[in-house]
Amino acid sequence: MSKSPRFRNVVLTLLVVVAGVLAGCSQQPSADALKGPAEEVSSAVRAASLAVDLRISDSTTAAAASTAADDMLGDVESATKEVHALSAQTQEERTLRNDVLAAFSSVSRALLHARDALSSSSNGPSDGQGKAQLSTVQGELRAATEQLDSLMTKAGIQ
Amino acid sequence: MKRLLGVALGILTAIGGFVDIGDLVTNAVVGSRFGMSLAWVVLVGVVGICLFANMSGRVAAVSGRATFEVIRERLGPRAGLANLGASFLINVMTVTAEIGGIALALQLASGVAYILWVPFALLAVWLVVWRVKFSIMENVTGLVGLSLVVFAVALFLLKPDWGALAGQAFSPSVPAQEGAGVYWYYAIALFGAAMTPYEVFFFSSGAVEERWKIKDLAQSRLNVLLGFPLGGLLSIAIAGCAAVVLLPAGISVTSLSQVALPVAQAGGQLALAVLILGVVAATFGAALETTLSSGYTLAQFFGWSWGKFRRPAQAARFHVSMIVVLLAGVAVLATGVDPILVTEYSVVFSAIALPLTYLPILIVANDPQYMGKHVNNRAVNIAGVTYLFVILVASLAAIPLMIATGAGA
Repeated sequence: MSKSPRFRNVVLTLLVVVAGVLAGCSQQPSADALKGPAEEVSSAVRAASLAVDLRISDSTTAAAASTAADDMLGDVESATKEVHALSAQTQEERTLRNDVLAAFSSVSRALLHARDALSSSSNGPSDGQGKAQLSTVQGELRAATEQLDSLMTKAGIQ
Repeated sequence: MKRLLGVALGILTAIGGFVDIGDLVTNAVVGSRFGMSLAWVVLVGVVGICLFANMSGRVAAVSGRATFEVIRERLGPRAGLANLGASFLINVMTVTAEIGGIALALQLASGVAYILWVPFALLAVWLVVWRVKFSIMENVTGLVGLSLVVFAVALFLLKPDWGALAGQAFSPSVPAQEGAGVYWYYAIALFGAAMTPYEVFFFSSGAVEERWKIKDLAQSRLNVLLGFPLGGLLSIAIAGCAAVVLLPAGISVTSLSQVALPVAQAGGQLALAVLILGVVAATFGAALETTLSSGYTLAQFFGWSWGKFRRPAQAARFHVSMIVVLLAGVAVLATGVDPILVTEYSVVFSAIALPLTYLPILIVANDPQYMGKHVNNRAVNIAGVTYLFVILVASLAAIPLMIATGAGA
């Protein structure tokens, strides 16, 4: 019984140390810290691209496709917040973080355009203007994907 | 003929009722990240839920009382309270996730933000719990939930490389891009999704609601032993669709809208409509079951009058507790928390709480005072103890893995 307060103190100290270590870890925008958010955004833009493809081929509805684009936009926003929270200490880290944020911003813009185009495509993609608009946003999404992919390769994230 | 129809209906509703938002999301996430390499967990989970659902159904049919009621009496209020605390918390989380699931499916159908659908979902669940007969409620949601067979149809239409899928399933390994910790974290989540505690409480309380007798045991056994494994196949089909379409495209599932993409690709808008119908029915059915389970566990612990076979005025506290649970779930969703995130955490916390649910059932099912000659036989006990060991390991490993992997990130 007399050991229990000491044991509790040791456990609490260990927990505080572990929490401190965890809090201190991955706060810098290293390739490792950026991997999670970058992969999340990469997945999001690919999902939106698939949704647009399906809408162009009339395989999905405007509501379902625009919901997918909207959900992906949310994912990109949360990944962007995650990267913003990283504090860069060296010039190299700052550059990497800014490049990643710029790529996220392009993806975000493309997703916004995709969501708008998908929402307004309720008359069906057979409508010529709607189809052209969807093809344009598809191009934008692919360009944003390529930009992100090349940055991830360059930074050794994938 | 009537009996045969009853058996068929029971099996079909068991299949349709097996999949809920936890199964939908977890299987799709796993399929999109690990392919079919975690299909074995679904098999382990299905055998486990069959074993313990069957046990709790037998307890209810033989003793004429729901499992939770017997647990409290047999193990005392302290053990009962631990069981109640854990299962009630998981129930509230699951109610939240299921209501969120209904709203997300309606958003997929309409394009209207899911948060606006939440009050309608709440109202609909409450009305059905309040007014609709138990058997009608269970059969309708179970049968409409069968629409989720569209995942299996979609998988065939996608013309996958069956050999490659079977290879992933039968020679499971951790994919190169994922860590072993994340693999085991999702194995536990999938196990928790298949063996959710509310299913057992609902099953045994439902047996009392429907006044099962010992002669009904054969039919209930058939429902469980055929319905749940076929429901498990549906879960595998969900993972299969994600493995065939999303994994190669580099898409990791984080939302319900992504779960629908492979189905739309395979079967177009018709398949998508069937899928949305199935998701609404499955999540609605599960929302009813979890809401009722919350009321059942509370009422059975405190000795209140309970049951849908009683008029609401005769079981007022039972009905009020369900309203409170529904409001609590909606209050959580109103904070703007992602329902998919709630779902992911609810299945892992289910896994953590599993020993508290299943150990008491095993103890009661072996007590001749309650079970007479219907106590577990040796084979069932060996299987039960083996499963308890697996459940305990999963429960103990869940939190460390959650911390180490950042909840599977």
